[in-house]
Amino acid sequence: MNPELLESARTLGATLNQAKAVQTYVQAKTEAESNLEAASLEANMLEVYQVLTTRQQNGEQLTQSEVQEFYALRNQAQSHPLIQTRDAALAQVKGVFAEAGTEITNQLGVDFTALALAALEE
Amino acid sequence: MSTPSTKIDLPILSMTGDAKVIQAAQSLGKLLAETPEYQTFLQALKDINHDLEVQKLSAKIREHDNALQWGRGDALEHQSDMKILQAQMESLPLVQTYHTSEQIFVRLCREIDEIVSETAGVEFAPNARKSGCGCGG
Repeated sequence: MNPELLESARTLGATLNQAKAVQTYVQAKTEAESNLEAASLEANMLEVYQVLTTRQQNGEQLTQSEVQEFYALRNQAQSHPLIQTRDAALAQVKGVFAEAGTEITNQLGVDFTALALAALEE
Repeated sequence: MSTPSTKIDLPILSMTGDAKVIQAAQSLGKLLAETPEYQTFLQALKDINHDLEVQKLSAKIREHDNALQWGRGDALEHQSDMKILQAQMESLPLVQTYHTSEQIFVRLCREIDEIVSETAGVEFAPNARKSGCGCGG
């Protein structure tokens, strides 16, 4: 990669890092992760999610009560104030990032975000 | 009688955080558009869009696709014909060149995304992707 392009990518990253939305999100994420209750609620939800999706991928039919149990766990996690704060902050970050992505796309005429993710999905 | 002072809202002259982000993104986009990887990809894209053979095959594929969508004719036959036409399309040197140039440009986009994400401290592309469903997800 040419040095000018590398520098420009770093500049965008640094500018995003300094954006209020990102600062707020990083702080909220740290707080949610360091709170035992919030962290365990989320870890438990993710663990159940992984078990259920693995079983589904293996062709197993999940019972209604298992699905309901998962939704209850998810609701419990998502209603924790620290997780709510973090998720709300992430929504703000997505707004800022989407704007930045659109600006790059406008210069190219092709969807930069889709191309970057296409490579990740290879 | 004293005249009440009129408050005039002046535009904010200093650049806000978001304006800086937009400017940085525009600069990156401009530089990216100047790279040989992008120029080659763009040329390959133009070449396939202007190629008569590609246009002919695309039109035939669309015809079968439309027929499938509207439930006209034999679905299996349409699918089989589409498969053959798509294979013919993929075998064209111009289309192969396009795919190669796309992969090279995609790799560059991925590298850029990794740098932006690392410096920002938050993953860039997955969070910059616009949700297509409007469900906030």
